[in-house]
Amino acid sequence: MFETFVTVFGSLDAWVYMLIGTAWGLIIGALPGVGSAFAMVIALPFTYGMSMHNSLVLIMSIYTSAIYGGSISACLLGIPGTGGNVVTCFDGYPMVQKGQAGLALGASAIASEIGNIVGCTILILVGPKFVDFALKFGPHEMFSVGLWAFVMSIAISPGNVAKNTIAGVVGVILATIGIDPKYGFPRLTFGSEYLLLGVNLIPAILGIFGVAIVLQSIFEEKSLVTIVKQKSFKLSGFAGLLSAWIWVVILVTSLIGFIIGIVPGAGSLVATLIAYGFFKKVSKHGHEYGKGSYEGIMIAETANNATHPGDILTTMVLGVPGEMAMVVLLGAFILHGVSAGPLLLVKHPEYLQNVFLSIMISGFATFVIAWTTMKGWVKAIETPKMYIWPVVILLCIIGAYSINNSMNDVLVMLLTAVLAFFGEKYGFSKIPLMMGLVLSPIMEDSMRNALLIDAPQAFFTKPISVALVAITIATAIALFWLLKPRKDTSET
Amino acid sequence: MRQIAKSSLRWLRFDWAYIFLLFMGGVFFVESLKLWATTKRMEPLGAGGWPLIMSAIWVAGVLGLMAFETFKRQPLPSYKIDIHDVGTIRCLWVVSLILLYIFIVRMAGFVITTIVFEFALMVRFGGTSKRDLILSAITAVIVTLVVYYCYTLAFKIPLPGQL
Repeated sequence: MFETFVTVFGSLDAWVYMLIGTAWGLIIGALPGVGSAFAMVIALPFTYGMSMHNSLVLIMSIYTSAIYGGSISACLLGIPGTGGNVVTCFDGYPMVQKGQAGLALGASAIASEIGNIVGCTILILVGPKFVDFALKFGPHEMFSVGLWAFVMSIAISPGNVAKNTIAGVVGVILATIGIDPKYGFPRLTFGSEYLLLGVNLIPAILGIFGVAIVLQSIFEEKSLVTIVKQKSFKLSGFAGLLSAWIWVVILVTSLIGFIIGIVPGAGSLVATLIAYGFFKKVSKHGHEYGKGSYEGIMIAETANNATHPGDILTTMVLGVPGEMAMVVLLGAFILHGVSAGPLLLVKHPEYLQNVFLSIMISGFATFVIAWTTMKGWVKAIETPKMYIWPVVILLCIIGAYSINNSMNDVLVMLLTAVLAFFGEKYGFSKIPLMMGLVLSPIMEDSMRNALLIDAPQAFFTKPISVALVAITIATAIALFWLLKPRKDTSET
Repeated sequence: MRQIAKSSLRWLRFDWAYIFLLFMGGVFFVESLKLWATTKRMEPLGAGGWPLIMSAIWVAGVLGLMAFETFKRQPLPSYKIDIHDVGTIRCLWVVSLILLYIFIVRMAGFVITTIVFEFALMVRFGGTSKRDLILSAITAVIVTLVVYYCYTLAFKIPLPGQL
């Protein structure tokens, strides 16, 4: 670990990238509805010329600070910056309305940092054991994991399940376009030479998480100009930590967050909802949740931040991303010719250590920056979008172009953006669309290999595979029920 | 007769988006089926097996949605494209500008095309007062030059239209 620290953070470059990434993530993460994946995507093209270590520092710093940045808009505007900040709105926004903006932002900063520390500590402790377990995975198990992540992405996406399934399948089909990886047959190319190359993942990511979000924003004419001018921003929140109960809450929440984070496709929203729901029933302060509770914010942000180390572990070890930001992390690996999978951490354990260090250091930097310069950051996110969005579009174009120096990739980016934008308008979520694109090669390859080795029944006879299939079915049913929007009967 | 046909078809109500999706799913299904038929001897799934399964789910899903909306007479909340809507016009403007940029940047080069592109977007998103125009022009020039020098000098990344 110390060697990795010296290798990575021994140069000034890494510290500069960490600070730039932290500042960038805070600003972009604070934009409502934009999210950490978007903040990371914009920076992705800049990592082309960097070493793998420096690009990990930049990407993970953005990721860490964007998650906290998301809680700023969640508290101040009631609009979550990222999916994981949805639960923060439940108590953060009412707290701000009560004039306790400083306490809300302070509590979320403290909880974010604690969640980071606990989550990363567990990551380093269980990471090597998880790699040993993952090395036992054959094609049957890999297919089952891929299927699990795919089903989870459908289950947790907002809207109609059938529409989300179709969106996911569209993503899978898009990923199959091109040359068949085993025999070299052109597939679904309709005679086009360009389609032989297939749909590159990076332009698709830039389209779905970059340009599509800009289109969404300009479509809805969102404005941040009227942000919380009357509020006080003197941060507080340490006093609440004196209670022993809050530490029990924090530790249990962190554990829930990390475990859910490991589950492919589950993501931070599921973790925060489960932890929040659990303590709402268990805690003696449960009746205060949703009305501006300090404990509520602590749970939401601790679970949110503790989820990500688990998510990172699954992404790096199995190559199966748990949420959209992890797709971008995979993109960063692909850009540097590194394949995620069980052997990644056997050959390059320093990458996991780098991620750990980057999260810890940038988490601390986020905390310090947020605590000292909150007023400035709020001003920064007031920059009119008429200046921000054109720059974002330009960076996405250059990012897509730079992969193969081809304008065709820019066209792919534009097409996927339009598909994602109008798809969302018609109720087809872009989360399963993206997950379909990412998971299709994993699922297809493992399924074909599995069927070459064994009969189809083997999926239901191998212990890990059976367990994963059973868990897939159980979690899907549970999530469909748990996350199904309930009718509000109080109004009737 | 026409009246009877009209009234019997009235319950068939679904979005044009479904028709489009059904058509696309059908096209992919047929293509995958052809590929599977020619490659299934090499391995159980063949090159077309995976897309065949997925396109079958696609078609079945769309048919299921259409059946649900038709027989339940309960259309799911949907969206209608309104080309007069300000948001739609803005989106079409952005998409058209990006398309134009893709074709023009090769001929006119990165710097000039990008300045015009950025300026056009900023003007479309913001106001058209003299102050806004001047600010947009200055920002467009600065952004383009910063991006150009960052990418070409610092990151050594080729830019579109530069080669």
